[in-house]
Amino acid sequence: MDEKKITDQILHDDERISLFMQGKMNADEESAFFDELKKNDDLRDRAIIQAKLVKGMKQTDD
Amino acid sequence: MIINLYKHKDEKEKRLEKFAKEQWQKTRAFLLSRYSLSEDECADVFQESLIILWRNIKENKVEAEGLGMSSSTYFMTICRNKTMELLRHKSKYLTTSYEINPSKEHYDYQGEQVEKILSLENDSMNAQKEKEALVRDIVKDLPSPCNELLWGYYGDGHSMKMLAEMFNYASENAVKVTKHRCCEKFRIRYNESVKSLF
Repeated sequence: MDEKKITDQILHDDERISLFMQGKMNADEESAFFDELKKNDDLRDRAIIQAKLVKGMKQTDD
Repeated sequence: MIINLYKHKDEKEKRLEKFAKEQWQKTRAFLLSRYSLSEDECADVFQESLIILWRNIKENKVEAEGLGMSSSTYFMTICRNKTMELLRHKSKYLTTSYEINPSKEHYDYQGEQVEKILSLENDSMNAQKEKEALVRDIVKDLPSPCNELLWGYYGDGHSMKMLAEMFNYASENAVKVTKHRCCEKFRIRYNESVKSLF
C-alpha cells in the first residue's frame, strides 16, 4: 500500500471528518468544512471512504 | 466447546449460539496473547461473558437481532472486564483503574451527514447498489487489527480512548495511526474491487 507519512494534520483531518459525520460541528464550522471538502481532493477522498465505512457497517448490522 | 446451554432453542438463543461460535477463536486468541490466561481461564471468561450478554439480551439492553459484527467489540469489552475481575482475584494486578463501560463514550454517526459527504463522490449513480454490497462484503471480512478498530470506531462509535483501553494500545495516538492505515487499506481494496467489478 501507499506508505504515505501520517502527519498530525492527517490525523486532525480524520477527527474533523468524524465530527462532521457525528453532527458535532456548529453551523459555521460545518459550512467551512464542507467547502473545504469540495476544494481539497485528498481530504474529500478520505471523507468519502470513511462515510462508506459508516454506511456499510450500518447496513451490515441492520 | 461450551454453549450447549439450552434444550429448546428459540430464535434469540440460536443467534447467540451462532455468535458465540463466531467469537470463540478470536476471543481465545486475544485472551491468551494479551493476558496470558490458561485455556481453562479463557473458557471460563468466555462463558461468563456470554451469560452476561445473554442476560442483557433478555433484559432488552442489547438487541438479539443486532448480534452482528458491531456486537463483537461490545462482547470483547465484557470479556475484558471479566478478565480484569479474574486477574484482580488472582492478585496479578493490585488494582485496575476502572472497568470499561461499553455504553460510555459512545458516538452516533448521523445518516444525513454521512449522505452529505457521499453526495460529493464524483460518480454517477451507476451500480450504486452493487458498490454498497461490495463495501458490506469487505467490512464483513476485515483482517485484524482493522476488524476491531474500524468496527469499534465506525460501527460501535467508541472513542479512541476506549479503543486504546480495550485493545491495549500504548496511546490514543497509536490507535489513530493504526485506524488511519486501516482506512487506507480499505480504500485500496475497495477501489481494486470496483475496478474488477466494472
